[in-house]
Amino acid sequence: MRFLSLIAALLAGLVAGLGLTALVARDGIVFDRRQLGAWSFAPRIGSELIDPYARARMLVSGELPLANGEGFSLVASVDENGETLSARCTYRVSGPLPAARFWTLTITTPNGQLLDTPLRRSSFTSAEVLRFAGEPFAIEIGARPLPGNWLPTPASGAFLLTLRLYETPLSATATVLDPAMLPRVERVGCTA
Amino acid sequence: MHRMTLLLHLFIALVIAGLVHLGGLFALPRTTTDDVFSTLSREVTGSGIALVPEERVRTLRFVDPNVAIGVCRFDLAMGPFRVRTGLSETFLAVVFAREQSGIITSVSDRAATSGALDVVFATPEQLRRISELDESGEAIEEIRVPSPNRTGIAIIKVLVDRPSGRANAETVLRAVQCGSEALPG
Repeated sequence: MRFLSLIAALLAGLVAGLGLTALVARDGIVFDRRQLGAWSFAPRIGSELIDPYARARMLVSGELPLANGEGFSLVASVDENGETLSARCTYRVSGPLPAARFWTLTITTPNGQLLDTPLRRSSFTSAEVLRFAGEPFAIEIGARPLPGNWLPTPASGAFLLTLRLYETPLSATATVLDPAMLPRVERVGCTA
Repeated sequence: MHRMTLLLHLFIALVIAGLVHLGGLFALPRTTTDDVFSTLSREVTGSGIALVPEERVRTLRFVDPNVAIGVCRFDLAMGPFRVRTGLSETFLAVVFAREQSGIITSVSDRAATSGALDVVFATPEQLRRISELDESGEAIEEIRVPSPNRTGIAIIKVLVDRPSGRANAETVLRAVQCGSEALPG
């Protein structure tokens, strides 16, 4: 009886250990992920200093992160109010941007795949975006065509926005980044 | 069962779970082959740079579709590895990475001199030998980066800031020279 109980304890430990590893590799525990308004970022993912949990998640997810020497990326899966970004709603991304030589804003599925939209429009770059005199940049995000810089969403489901800043002093000073320096992701409206 | 025995077995289960979890976490990189660095490494079929087609780039996950990508493979057992590239009108970076592991280091075009980016990636011993061979008083224009790994890939990325710029970015990538260089005796 005691022997069987020991075997059961060993097996339970084995299953729990493997299960926990599979879970963190898929969903990720990133210890140094920081949240700034709608945006989150992991400062060390693009360097050798990446922690083993973030490394496991990066390898399993197939992500190609920006190296620290290239710049920095921020990901939004929620809007300013913490609500998950949904294809049922329209959003506006606007406001200030940290200093960078170039930036790009890309829309993907939650597992990082580009959307297969008829226009193949899945991102804007700082060189492409239309700006109106005296106003900060604004990108309109929604399933139906919107005036201005329109980024189409998938037909349904959740999505992610990734803001990449190329050659920015941000990576060196990431720890003191202020949400007021970043664009806001505001929900404009939703369909029932 | 005695309560102490039960607690002991629970403790054993927790210790085993912790050990298996940590072991699995550190073994995972060695078992995965679908990571982006292994995927890019498979794009290289010969020597020199392999241009990753735009459609292939778009299938990678969490990738910026506004970049053109070229890949070279290095093996420092064959000597120091040199990447020499002209510049783009936008942004260019050389990222050194290792399959099943991650990013080692990177150099951006900010480090370029005389209209080109010339990077030598070598083991610390090879870098010492290179320094010994330097002519005294002569300016060194190449960027020398020590590598903790013997093998891996160099990912050369050029930002495509508008769709019409992709052809130019790919032209820059096709002209990249990368390969091992034998050190003299």
